[in-house]
Formats: sequence, C-alpha cells, structure tokens
Amino acid sequence: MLVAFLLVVQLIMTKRIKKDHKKFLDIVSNKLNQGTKKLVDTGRIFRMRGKDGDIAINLPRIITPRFVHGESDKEGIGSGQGNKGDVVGRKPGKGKAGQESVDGINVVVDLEFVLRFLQDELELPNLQPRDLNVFEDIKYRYNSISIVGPDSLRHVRATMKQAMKRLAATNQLDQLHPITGMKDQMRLIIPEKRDFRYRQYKEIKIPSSNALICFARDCSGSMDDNKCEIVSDISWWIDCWIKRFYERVETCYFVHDSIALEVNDDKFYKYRHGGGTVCSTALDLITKQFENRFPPKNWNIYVFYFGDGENWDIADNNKFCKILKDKFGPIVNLFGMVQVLSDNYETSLKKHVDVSIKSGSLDSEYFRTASVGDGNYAYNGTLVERDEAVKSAIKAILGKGKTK
Amino acid sequence: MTMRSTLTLVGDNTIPGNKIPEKLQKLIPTIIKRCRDFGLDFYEPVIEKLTFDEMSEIASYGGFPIRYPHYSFGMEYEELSKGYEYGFSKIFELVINTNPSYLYCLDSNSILEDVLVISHAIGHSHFFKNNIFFAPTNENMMNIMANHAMRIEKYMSRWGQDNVTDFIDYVLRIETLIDYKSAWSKRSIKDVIVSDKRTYRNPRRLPVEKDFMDSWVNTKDYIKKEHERIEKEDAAEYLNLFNKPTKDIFGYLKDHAPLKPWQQDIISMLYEESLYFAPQRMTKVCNEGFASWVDHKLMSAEGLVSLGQDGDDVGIVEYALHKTAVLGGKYSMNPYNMGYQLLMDIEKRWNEGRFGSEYENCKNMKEKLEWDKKLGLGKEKVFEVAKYYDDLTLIMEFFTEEFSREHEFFEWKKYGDEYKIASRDFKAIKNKLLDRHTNSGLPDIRLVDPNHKNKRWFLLEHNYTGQPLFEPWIAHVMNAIYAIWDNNVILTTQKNDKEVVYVCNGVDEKDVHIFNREEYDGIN
Repeated sequence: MLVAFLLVVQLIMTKRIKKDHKKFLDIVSNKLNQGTKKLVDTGRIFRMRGKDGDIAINLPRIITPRFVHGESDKEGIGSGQGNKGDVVGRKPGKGKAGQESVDGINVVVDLEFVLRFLQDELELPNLQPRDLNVFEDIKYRYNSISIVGPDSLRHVRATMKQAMKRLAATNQLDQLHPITGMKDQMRLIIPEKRDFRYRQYKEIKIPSSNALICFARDCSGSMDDNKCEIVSDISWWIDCWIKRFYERVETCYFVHDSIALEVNDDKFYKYRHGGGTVCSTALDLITKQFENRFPPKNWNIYVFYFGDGENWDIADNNKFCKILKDKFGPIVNLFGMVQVLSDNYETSLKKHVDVSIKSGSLDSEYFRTASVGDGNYAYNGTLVERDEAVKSAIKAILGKGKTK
Repeated sequence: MTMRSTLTLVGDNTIPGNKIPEKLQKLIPTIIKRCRDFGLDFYEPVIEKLTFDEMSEIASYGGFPIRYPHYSFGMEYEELSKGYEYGFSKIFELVINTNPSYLYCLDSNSILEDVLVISHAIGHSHFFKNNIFFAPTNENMMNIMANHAMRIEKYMSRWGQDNVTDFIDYVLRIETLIDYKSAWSKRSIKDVIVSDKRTYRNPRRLPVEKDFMDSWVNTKDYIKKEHERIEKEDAAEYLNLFNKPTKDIFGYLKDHAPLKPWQQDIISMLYEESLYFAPQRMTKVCNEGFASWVDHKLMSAEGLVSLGQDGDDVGIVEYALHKTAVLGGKYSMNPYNMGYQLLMDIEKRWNEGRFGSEYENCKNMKEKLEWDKKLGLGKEKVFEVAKYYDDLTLIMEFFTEEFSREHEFFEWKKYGDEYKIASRDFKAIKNKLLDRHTNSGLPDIRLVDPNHKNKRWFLLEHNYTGQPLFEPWIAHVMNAIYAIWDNNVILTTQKNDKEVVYVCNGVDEKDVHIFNREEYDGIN
C-alpha cells in the first residue's frame, strides 16, 4: 500500500516537469521546423552527424524580457595576469568560417524527423525491395473455408448458410414440417452432406526485408583528409537512408589500394595507406562475398564506391565496367559511385562508367554516378560550397528513378 | 512525527531507489556535529539523494519540488539536463531557504564530494538563517509554493490554460521591478471604514520665548499657508493619491491595477515569490563566498576531508581538484571565487589586526607589510559579515586596493571581436563592481505618477546612471505593464546621451513609440 502510494508520488513528480517541458517543446516546434529546413536547404545538415544518429538543432532561448542594462558585453571586470592591452578573450562564434555562434539552446531531434525533411527537400523516392521469393516467416491462420475436412473443424455457421441457400434455390425454405411432440408444424433446415463446410488454413508469407550495404573506397595516397571526410559524410547519410526501409541491414566496408581489404567501419573512415590504385580489386572482393556470405537471391544489395577517379591504367577501368555489367548488373538494387575532388575528369574512372551508362551497356536506373567538386579544390574556405555539392551528390545517387 | 531537534532523513524513503549510501549515512551525524562545534547555526537539514534527472527538475523549479505550470521551467530543464548529458555542467548540490532546509545531493557524488557539499550547503543554511536580508523571507516557502501551484492550476482549469499562462508571462516581465525594502514594511490591510469622520489637524505653531514675539514669528500668512498644506495632505491621504516616486512598481500594480479576482490572486502570489527570491539575487557573492569559506575551513582546517577516506592522501587531492574546478576560471569573474577570496582576506586582516586608523595611517611600508597584532578576530568578523552584509556593502567596505592588487583585478573593454585589458586602476574597477551590484545590477526605474496628465497614464522614469537600457526588451516590458494597468504607459530614459520618451498604447510590439523629449513635449 505504502509502496503504491510512493510510486504515485513519484509518477506525479516526474510528470510535473515533463508537462512544462512538452509545453516548451510545443512552443519551439515551429522554430524547430524552420531550423531543420534551413539546415537541409543549405546542406549543412550533412556535416552534423550526432552520436547514435541524434542531431542537435540550435534554437534561440526564450527569455522573459525585463528592464536590464544594455551593452553589458562592452566592458567589465576580470582577474588574472597580464599587461594593459593583452587580449583576454574573444567574441565566441567568430572562430572558423561556417561555424555559427552558440547562443541559444540545443534541442536534440531524432533522425527520423530529419530524414523526413530530407525526403521532402531532396525529393527522394522510397526504396522498393526486390521480389526476392525469400520469406522471413510463414504463418498459418484458419481464416478460410473448405468443402472437405475432418468433422472436428466443421464450420457450423457456414454449413447452415449453405443449407439455407440450397433450400432457397429449390424453393423449399418455407415448407412446413411436422415435428413429433409439437402441435404446430415448423420450418426446418436440415443440412445434407454436400452442405457441410470446414475450416481451412492459409499460409501467410512475410517477405524478408534483408539489405546488404557495401561501401568501398580508394585508400591510396591520393585520398587526403578532405576527401575522406566527404566520403564519410556521404556514406553515413546513405547508410541512414537505406536503414529506414529495411528491418535487417548488414553493412560491409571495403578499402583498396592495389589490393582490397575488408575493414570495420572505424577503419573505413580513417584508414589511409599509400600505394597504387587498382579499382577493380574492390569489386572483385565484393563479388566474392555474394558467393557464400550474402547469396543475392536472399538479399537486397546496395553497393557504393567512392574514389577520386584515379586508376592504375585504362585497362583496369574497362575491367571495372565489365564487372559492373556482368556481375553486378543482374543482382544489385542500386550501385552508386561518387567521385570526390577528382583531379581530371577526362581520364577518370567516372568518365568510363558514364560512357558505359550512356551507351546503354549499364542500366542508368541501377547505376548512378555523382561527383563532388571536380577540379581538385579542397573546400578549405567555403564550407557552403561543399555542403551544396554533398547535397547534390546524395540527390543524384538516391534521387528519382525506379530502383529494383 | 519526527522531533524538531533530531535529524530527519527523508532521502531513503520518499523517493524509491535513491538510498543514501550506508557509508555516508554513518558520517552524517559527525558532519552535523562538527558543523555545530564550528559555530554554525543552521536550520535542521534534510538530506536527499537525487538522480541527475530529478536534480535537473528541482533545479529548474528553483529548488522546489512543486511550482506552478509554466513553460519557462521546461526550457530550464531542457538546458540543465542536456548540459549534464553532454558534460558541460553538473549540479553537485542544491539547498533552499526553508526550515527545515532541504539539501539535495547528486547521487553520483563520491563520499568526499558528499561530505564537501553537505558542509558547503550547511554554510548556505547558516547564511539563510542569520543574514538580515533573509530575515523577512518565509521559512515555510515549500508549502506556500505548492499552494500557489495548486491555486494557479485551479485558475487554469477554470479560465483556460492559455489565458492564465499569458497573464503569468506579463507578470514575470515586471518581476524585478520591486523594492526589496517593502518586504520589511508591515502589510497594510485596508481597514473597513465604519464611520466616515474627518479629523482636522491644526498647524504647529513655532515655539517662541516671549509671548509678544508670537505674532511676528507665526504670522497670519504662515498660518494660512500651513493650513492649506495640511488640507492638501489630508485630502490626498483621504483620496488615496500617489505622493512620491516608488521603486515598487510591481507592488503598486498589485494593489491598484484594475484586475479580475483571479488575476489579482495570481499577481499577489507572484509578488510574494519575487520578494522571496530577491535577497538571493542581492547576496550572491556573499552567500557563495561564505559557503565556500565554510567548506574550506571545515574540510581542511577542521579535517572533515578525511571522513570516510581510506587512501594514503586522505582525500586531500580530490578535494583540491574539486575546489580548483569550482573556484577556477581564467580571467573571468567567478562570484564563488570573489566572495571566497574576500572573506579569506577579511579573516586574515582581522586575525592580524590590519584595520582601523592606526593601520590606515601608517606610512612605514615595511612596518605595514609585517603588521601582525595577533588579535585572532578573523572568524568572528567573517561571521559578522555573513550576518549584516549583502554584496554591495561587502564590496564597498572590504574591496581594498591591496586586495585588488593581490588578486590582479583588471578592467577589460571590447575592441572589435577581442576583449583587452583596459586598465588596472583601482578606482575604476571598484566603481564598476559597485555599479554591477547596485540594485542587484538592475536599472533603477521608478514610478513617478500613476495618474499622469490626469488621464491615468502610468509614468515611469529611468534614473540614468550612464548605462542605457537593453533596447529590444523595453517594448515587451512596457506591453506587459500596459496589459496589467490597462492604460498608456510612458517611460523616460536616455539613449545616446539624449533624453527619449517611450510611449506604449497597446499590447503589441508595434504599439510602442519612441519620441525625443522635445517632440513629446510638442505633442502634449
């Protein structure tokens, strides 16, 4: 009894601030929408990957206005060492370009909220799983009627209905029958053998929603930190987007220089290794995974390749396209290739793939290419441009067009 | 149920799952006893352990478990709980000015942190109980706040949540426009006038030594003028007219604004809460300084630091680390540190006898440096300071040139985006500090005439002392006063060293108009 009372007390206590908190969030929700829209519009959102997918959006505080002194930040008192004219502080928020001031409070919104915004803003279509003919589970439900079956499963109501139908059809429904022991005659419905109906089960097939995402990238010496950051931004958001549509998602990461390796996600984002570049090795390694580990008939397969367009020789570029056509063409839901800060488009890998797509040997619905900042500039000064480029790359890869 | 003299521990049975650790429970009587032995006089403490979520809730309610529903508490909660989650800020303890004094500790505190924060909070409790600025505050505020919450909730269900919240919003904007002195004045309850008799007063005749002088000293003119004056005064009193400028704008609106009964009740409740929180604004440096001084004395001088410690260093390193974090902050003004250092300085000065005209007038620098009369009055003096001083008087009296030089105070100014040291001039620094603590650092705004131009306009005057008002908020506050007073509001102040007049004739930001003095006089 006492415990119950205390629990009630606790319930009231926690409820109290939650109400006020909700009221506050209601008031700011309008501003929250505006804030999110602004971030998505400018593409700045792609640099804001939170822990566990939470994204903090900065909102202005709601302060109760009062009569206070203005210009309080123009002069003041401090203590510490230093001579006259020494700098003791700087105005916050004017450090790096692109950083906004940190006045106000951060409200954390969940990823789904942001992804909904992305969908509206970038006009991304929903991903459709392939008809894989593989089922997660098959369940049996007695929700059908059969004309044969055991007596124990007899469906009385359906049987009587059938008997009535038969009597009505033969015009015997109103016929009166004498009944022993009763004075009046009555209408009778007597089912015959052909009227009997039985319960029957049906199979309910739950289609599997498995997806495999393979990220592969070039890890040769030419991939510098700038490029790696852009790769990690794009791949993180693609990952989030695909996870939205599938229940079970496996993600594999591959890097390659002159040979390919499978790595964990941490290494994928940070690993750098000088060396040659043979792009087709990565695709070879991914193809190997399909043999035993992820049979294509059971998985929706998404493959993304990131590189800076450099390859060892032209022959390997051709090999790359050949693997795409022969091995990937029949099985992938989507293959995306993003070329990051490429030096020269004319000799790049993307050019080769683009030519193949144009000539029709690769289906443009399933093979998409995008580039971020062709012409080798590093977005040191203007993050705005970078945001814009990342946004259009994601739109090009995941945007409109039918997918398998 | 519990006796007044015994220590009550509610922490382990009011909130399920938050038990005071057994180790700490054993130490609490020792801590309390040592505090009493040290000379502290405090309300009997009730110690509770809270998780950070509960702590954020209580802190956003200003230390009380139940307050009226308002979204601003929700915002505070969002900020505090996120601050803790991201590791920006942490509330170790929270103590409020009630009897018994509730003392909330964070449940993640280590034993040493608990001992430290309990002795720190007991320092606060001593201050609440003894400081004269807290004397008029109600000891039973916990219940009063809960009653307020209940009443406001009742009005919300009767008159609509939005209506009541809007009205509370208006009232909160004028929350700081109070005169703290009015807390000491007797509450005036108007007597019911039974018989409407008027009493006449006669002018006082000036005393004369010889009778024949009387007609020369108390001339007919003089008597006539006095008669007129008294008549006017009596009439003003009878008609309840306003006779002198007041800082207590909130109080005046509470008593005289044309409000509905529920609004009247809400404004009175919020006035009471505002008066309750006012002394905490006035004694921030003093209060924090004293509590920090107390925990320093108890922990290191009295040796409480070793309670419950079994390591080699008896916790002194952890204590030092904690203290550095609390009192630290490069170049910034930390109220904890400032108060603490001031009290340490006072203790040292009164221990060594560095006060009085003999010391002040001593010209011999060597003698002055080695001055030590071995008086040992330090502790006594600090307790006296905790009893009779607020921030303004503390700084006014004890912020000396030696102190400023020793702690390297400076005045900074903003040049572009950088803050630079402007000077180390003692007078400028002290003036600025006093400016900041005069009127709790708020602008001095007075109600001059509630019946301006005989049109019941509400005339306010800003007593300009060199700092202009914060421009964007003026309109909002004036709108709030308009909404409560239900007539035009006029504020005179200075902007860019020119007299300006703000006139508000509506509850929207657009309804506030700004005039030059000449323009305004021309209109009327």
